[in-house]
Amino acid sequence: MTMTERQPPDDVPAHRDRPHLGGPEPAVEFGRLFDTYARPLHRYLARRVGQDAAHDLVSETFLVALNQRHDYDPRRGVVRSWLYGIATNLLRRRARDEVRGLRAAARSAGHAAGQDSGHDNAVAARVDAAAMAARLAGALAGLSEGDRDVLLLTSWAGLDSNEVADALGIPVGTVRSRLHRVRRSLRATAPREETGDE
Amino acid sequence: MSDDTVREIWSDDDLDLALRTLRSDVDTDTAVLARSRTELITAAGGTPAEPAAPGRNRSRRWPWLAAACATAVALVASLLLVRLDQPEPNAVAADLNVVADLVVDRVAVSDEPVPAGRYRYIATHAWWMSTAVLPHDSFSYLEERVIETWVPADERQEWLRRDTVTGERKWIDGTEEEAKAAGVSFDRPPKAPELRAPCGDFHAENDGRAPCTQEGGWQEPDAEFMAELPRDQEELYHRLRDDTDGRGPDPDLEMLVYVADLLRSGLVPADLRAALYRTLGLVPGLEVTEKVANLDGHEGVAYGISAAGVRHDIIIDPATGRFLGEREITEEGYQGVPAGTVVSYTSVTTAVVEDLGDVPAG
Repeated sequence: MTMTERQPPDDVPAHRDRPHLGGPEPAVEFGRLFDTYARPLHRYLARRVGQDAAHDLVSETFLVALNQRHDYDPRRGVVRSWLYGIATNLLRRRARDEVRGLRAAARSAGHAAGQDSGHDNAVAARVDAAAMAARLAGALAGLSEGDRDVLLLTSWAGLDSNEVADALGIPVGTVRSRLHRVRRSLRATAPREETGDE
Repeated sequence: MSDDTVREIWSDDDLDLALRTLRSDVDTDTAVLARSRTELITAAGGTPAEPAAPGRNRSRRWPWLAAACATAVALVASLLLVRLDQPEPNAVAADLNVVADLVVDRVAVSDEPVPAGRYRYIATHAWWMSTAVLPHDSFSYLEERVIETWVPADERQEWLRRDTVTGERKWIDGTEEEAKAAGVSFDRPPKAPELRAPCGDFHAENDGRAPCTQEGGWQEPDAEFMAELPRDQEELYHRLRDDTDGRGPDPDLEMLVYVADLLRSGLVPADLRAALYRTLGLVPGLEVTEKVANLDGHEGVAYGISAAGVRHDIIIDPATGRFLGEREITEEGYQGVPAGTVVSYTSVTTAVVEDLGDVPAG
């Protein structure tokens, strides 16, 4: 990609980035999309299914996006939602891996909590946070995929409710009520989640 | 398992801490990412000679900016929340109270009743900016999407929603001819999904719920939700403050956005509309941004708030108190799009019609 006088608006923030993808040279626009969104998308996917699987998923997401670029309609949502929507569909095939990974993370809680005595406060706080994260992992494993998507697209991917709605093809009111319900239920169930649960 | 990590119920902060911590140690392999980029650019027919370096700079700059903004917003939000416990009338409160009185006085005019067996027709025309990027050029334009909703007099009967991409464009940077000459194609598949459901609960089936069980909210209001919203301006203000807490790029702006979300439904009864206008008179920073604003041919007063480089206006007809719509204006500008450009707008019209699918004349 060469830098020229009239380069794309690289200062358009994600929440108003609605590119026209029907141009004659998709390589330019897809180069920009990749440079802007691939790294955060990878981080999000890696937290869900691990780094290696996430690299494959990022690659697939952009290739699917390229092939389906004429389906992207800028009037119906920002491009980031569309990309995360594609990634979410691809992630479906790995749902079992994700649940297995979450259960494994939940089992690690015992180790994390066992190390905390006799250290300073910062270490204790870190260990406490790690133990809580492990409990959360156990609770996340018990959620439906749809609930996990809404929660993690919001919390890990940093999408706003409108973007989550567009990514998942559900109304924004549903996103907000689902998020509220899932958070309320996690606050109650995560602390009680047994570690090592299968 | 140590007992001090086990609590009956977590606070929201506990949950957020656990979410932040869980699997936060993932790494992105830049070399693997660069290979994926090469693969993508080759598939797109480009020459992947350029290393991913500039891209890395860019993608690194964004999260940093986002984080900085988020911190600033959080700081501002906490300051405002303390200051705003007791809301004060803003500069346009008096104007808005006059409009609110007008809505209540002319309820018969502003709230055309729907006789039994007929339908309220609500059309929102939304225009969004889109940009086509070419190697040495870019084109920006607004494109139209129309969402039409037919609401039966008895709201438990069947509703209809039609969502149409019209193909209408308004050019901001460049012209249609120039864009086509440069090879930009506009033939996207036309999609006009039609949804039908009682109570306007269009997604019940997808959500695996019984019909008419959607919980109403600011974005999908139902009669029940609107009936229980307070009519007292201070109570409504606090309700709005609570419901928008932590959302959007700016807390005051988000209050305006939520009010616009609700008004855009075209379903808000006169007493609630009046209460919303009075409540807007308490939102800090709201001002008249244009005395005679033209939105799709309808003129009204624009009330707006600026935040994060964008001004969000809602437009109200001062003669009737009717909500005409809203718009967003970039205050910083983008490449080829100067500051002051309208980057999106939505107009709302309503009418009473005979049948599902009928469109009012004119």
